Amino acid sequence: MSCNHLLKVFVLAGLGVIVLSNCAGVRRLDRGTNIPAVEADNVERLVLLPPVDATIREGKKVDFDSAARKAARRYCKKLKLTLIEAENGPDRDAADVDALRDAAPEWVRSLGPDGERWMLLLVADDVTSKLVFGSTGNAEISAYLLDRDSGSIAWCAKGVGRVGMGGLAGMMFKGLMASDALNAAIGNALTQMPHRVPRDRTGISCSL
Amino acid sequence: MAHRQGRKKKAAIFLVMVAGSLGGAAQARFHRVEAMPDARPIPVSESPILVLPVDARFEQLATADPVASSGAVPPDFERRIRERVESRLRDLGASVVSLPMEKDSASPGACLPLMSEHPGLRVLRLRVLVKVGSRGFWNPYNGEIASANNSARFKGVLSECDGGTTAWSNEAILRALPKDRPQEFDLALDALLGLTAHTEDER
Repeated sequence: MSCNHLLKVFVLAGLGVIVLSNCAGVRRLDRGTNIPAVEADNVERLVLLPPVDATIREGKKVDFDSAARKAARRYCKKLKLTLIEAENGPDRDAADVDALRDAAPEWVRSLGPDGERWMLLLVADDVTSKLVFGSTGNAEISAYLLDRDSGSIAWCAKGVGRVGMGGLAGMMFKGLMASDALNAAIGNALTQMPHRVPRDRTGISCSL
Repeated sequence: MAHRQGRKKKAAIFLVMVAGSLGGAAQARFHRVEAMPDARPIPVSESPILVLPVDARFEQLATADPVASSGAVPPDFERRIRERVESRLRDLGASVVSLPMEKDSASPGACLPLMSEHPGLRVLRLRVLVKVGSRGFWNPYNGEIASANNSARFKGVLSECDGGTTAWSNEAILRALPKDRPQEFDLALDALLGLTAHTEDER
């Protein structure tokens, strides 16, 4: 047997060992993942409550309502969810995290149309833009998924958006920074939203 | 000739950029301290005011996880707020009931035992939420830039002690950590009481 043949045998044997060990690994993994499935409810239809602008701004306000609605429509279209836009929602004081956490289940059930379960509430906490050598924008929003069945918060998250552009060109675009940051914050919050909410998570106290 | 035209073109582009930048600068400026646009000064009348201990919370901006207060606020933060607010109320001519109260006594009914001594007593509840975010940065090589997003949000509610009716409420924001901006921290408290307008900033 020549050296070449020996080399081929070694290479093939090595490959065989790698393949077999990987198969063994897969089998072990299969056994290891034999965990009872978590009971979860799919979020297939989503009610968008009117977005709440809770920012403290004396100057020109950014159109949060429009930005939030557009982002929610895009998000639902992408995930093939049915979006229903509700007309009535909480006001600024009721959209506070403590108020929502302490809200009576009956009040939560009174929001959104009958027959729907999951309601999305987006609250703008702060939006600013700043002129430096360039310009920057910061935005911060809170997102809540409310469960009408249990009358509580099922999920909540923060969305933070930071944008900026340096130099003279950046200074020219200061007017766009606040809305850009806001869109980034909304996108950030929505991407964190679960598509399936485990049953035991309904009724959690939101940690925001 | 072509060389001269090229220079003119560059100069024109530069002028447009400068004009655009000035336009950007002329737009709404960054306000480090702001209060609600419809804020009115805290009503000061004959009836005394009890300033309850401050409810202060400190959290990470992105996650809302609790953080240590030491890096964000000056020492004795809550006491300093209360003293400043009491002092400003006295300046306005209010009768301030000052009692050394512990934090756990800041319940809505804390003022009830004082009602016989101070008829018509009102209570001022102050809440502060300090959010610790990220620092600002500028990278001169690629032009990447971002501003810090720390903030402290103040809320004050003045209500009747006996009835619980809200007589006044206001909110103010300081877009920085109170430890980093002590002067503007005081301004934020004034803005909360409806005493000043916003301050303009600065780069």
